Amino acid sequence: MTNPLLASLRAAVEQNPDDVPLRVHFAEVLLSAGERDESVRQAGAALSRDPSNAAAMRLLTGSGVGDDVPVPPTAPSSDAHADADADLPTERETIARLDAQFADVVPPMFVDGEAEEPIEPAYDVERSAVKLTDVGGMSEVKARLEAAILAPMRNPELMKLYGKSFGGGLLLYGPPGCGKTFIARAIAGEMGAGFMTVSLSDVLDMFIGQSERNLHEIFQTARRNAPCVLFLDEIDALGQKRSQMRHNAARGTVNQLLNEMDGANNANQGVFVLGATNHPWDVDVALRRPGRFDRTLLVLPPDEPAREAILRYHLSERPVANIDTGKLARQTDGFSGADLAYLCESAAETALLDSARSGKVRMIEMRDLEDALRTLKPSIGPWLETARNVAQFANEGGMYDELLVYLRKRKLL
Amino acid sequence: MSERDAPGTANDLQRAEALCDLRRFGEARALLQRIVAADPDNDYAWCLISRTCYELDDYADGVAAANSALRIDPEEEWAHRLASLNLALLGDHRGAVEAANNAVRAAPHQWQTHAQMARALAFAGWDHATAAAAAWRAVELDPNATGAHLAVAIAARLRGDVPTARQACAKVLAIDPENIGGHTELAALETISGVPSPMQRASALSRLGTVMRIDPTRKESRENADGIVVGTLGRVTFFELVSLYAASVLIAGGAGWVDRSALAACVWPAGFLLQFWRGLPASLRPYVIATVRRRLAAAVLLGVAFVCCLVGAAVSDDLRNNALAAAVGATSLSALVQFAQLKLSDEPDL
Repeated sequence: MTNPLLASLRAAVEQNPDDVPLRVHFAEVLLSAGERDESVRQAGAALSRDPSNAAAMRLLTGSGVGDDVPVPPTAPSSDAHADADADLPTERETIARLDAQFADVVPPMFVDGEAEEPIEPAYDVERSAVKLTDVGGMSEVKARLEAAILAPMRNPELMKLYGKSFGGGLLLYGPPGCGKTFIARAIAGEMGAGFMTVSLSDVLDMFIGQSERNLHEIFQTARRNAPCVLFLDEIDALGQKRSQMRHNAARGTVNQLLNEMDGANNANQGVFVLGATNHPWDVDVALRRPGRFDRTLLVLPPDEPAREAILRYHLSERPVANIDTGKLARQTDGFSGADLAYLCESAAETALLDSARSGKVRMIEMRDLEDALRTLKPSIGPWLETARNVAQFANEGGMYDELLVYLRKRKLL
Repeated sequence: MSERDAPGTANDLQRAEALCDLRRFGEARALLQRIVAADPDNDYAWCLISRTCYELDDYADGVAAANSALRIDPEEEWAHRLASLNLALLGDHRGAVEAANNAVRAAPHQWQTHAQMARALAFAGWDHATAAAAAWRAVELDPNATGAHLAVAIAARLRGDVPTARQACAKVLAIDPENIGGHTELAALETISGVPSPMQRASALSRLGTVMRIDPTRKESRENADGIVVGTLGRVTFFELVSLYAASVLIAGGAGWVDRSALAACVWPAGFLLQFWRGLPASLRPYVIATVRRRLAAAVLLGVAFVCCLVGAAVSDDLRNNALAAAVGATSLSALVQFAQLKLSDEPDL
């Protein structure tokens, strides 16, 4: 640009960017000098500072600015006057046109609700529809849950009478793949409480970020949504023995967890904390003190009715014929829920490959499951090996008495 | 660079470190392998892989990962140490000592390098004096490092200097009462004589019990504990057989009271068992009972032998030989059963 007037005006605008009349004047001069695009930008910038500036608006609407801008098609108007005014842009069209033109220059003045980026809550609180009746078999676990937690919760008057509060913690422990998470959801469902999950990946994020603040935020969310079941999956990661830790962030997290569980001034009223772990022996002993995870529940591999229910569930969506789930349940003693899922998966794979080879689709049959069963072993062996050591060497205060009884019953001691 | 001042600031590296801290070495290794796939020049990630391999008993891959780190930075002391650690467990003692030597050269002021040098030399068994000197140098550099005192203990035990080894272990446990290495080393010291007394056996078992309480995942400690119980039963059976043989020689040509005394004396191995039992902490007795119960036949036969000896000492002369024969038969059968159980592992099928 060589026009000295434009050059001086530009310099003046740069020096006084918030001087709207100056900017509008600059836009007018630009338009008259044929610098249309630049004029539009300046008018837009003026409008961003003074949205009601009529001159700037006139510059944009009255000068044919934006004629070549593709405008999103508008719905045909049913207004009787619409046809008569067809050549004139409506206010809405104008705004839409301007928005499109200046999307990168002027921030939108108003946004529709649906257009707004939803603000994600830091942690989701869901309502669990699962109930204990949805958990197949495991009558012993259900009875213990009923007696220890659910029955008191259903009788708030009695709780009040005996000075009990809705709160505290329960530690679910047992071999992997045996339904601890499912039971936790069922507990939340039975309580009619919200359900919040904190998983290992959240914990790792905490170690990297501001662990204490993040953990506090989790508990605060649970408190805001009380009654709420806060499920800390793999609690051994979040509350590992501090003596085993070298990572400072991890130590801080355990301390913070202890503080949050203690919940000063009854802050945790209505928050029930459920922890789940495959390695309870790695959990810091301070977490097991009264008021924290003072109750423990051993979740063992599914019993026979539970195994049958699990097998039925995993086969229900598959093409099966003549499957004796009762027989399979008897043959799969010691299998975890995950093992049973894998058994069904393997049988389905065999039938699929067979069908692909022969070109004739066939159903999953009992022999597929039995063949798969011959190649599988319960996956909980390594866990039992450690559990045996725990029961024999680390059963301080009888914490693992339940486990001891189970191991004796299965002649593993 | 050392394991304590990792330069990596990337989130994934921190996640991997956190996973190692949580003893989730399998997951850490998988994550680290993704890191080095994207950034093969990350020597710290290679070192962490080497460490996870070591923890997962995959020593060959541990050496390979340490070597990858050394290709990037040949002066990386941690990589040299990790290589040494993994090589020693692969049985390549020459390589382990060489790697430890490189670590000392790279970081002579770090106690860890000297401690690893001491371990590598002690396990190689070539030069116990140099091993001890390296261990003491480590202690000199950091008198509060349990690893340094443990190196002193190992080097001393392997050259047979039990008092020094005990002192070093005591130091380790004074600094950290829950130190697994310290308890394990003390257990090893109790049984160093080859024929430990009942009290030494009980003490070793007690130490191993502590190790299992602190870390129930330690397979080798469990095996050693089982070994002590089974070994004690075997030892008692052996003593009984020897005693019965000696008694049978005496009974063949002795007078009445000599015969009675000889047979009664054959009960003394039961005293060995009793002493072992009394030396055990109460918390470990259920474990010992459970372990012996798995060898019930052998234990019952041994008990029968003791009873036969007592009965034989009390009955008339003409029945004594029958009692002796029954005792010898029961003890021999017990020994056979124990031998068979040792060969055909009787561990419960987990």
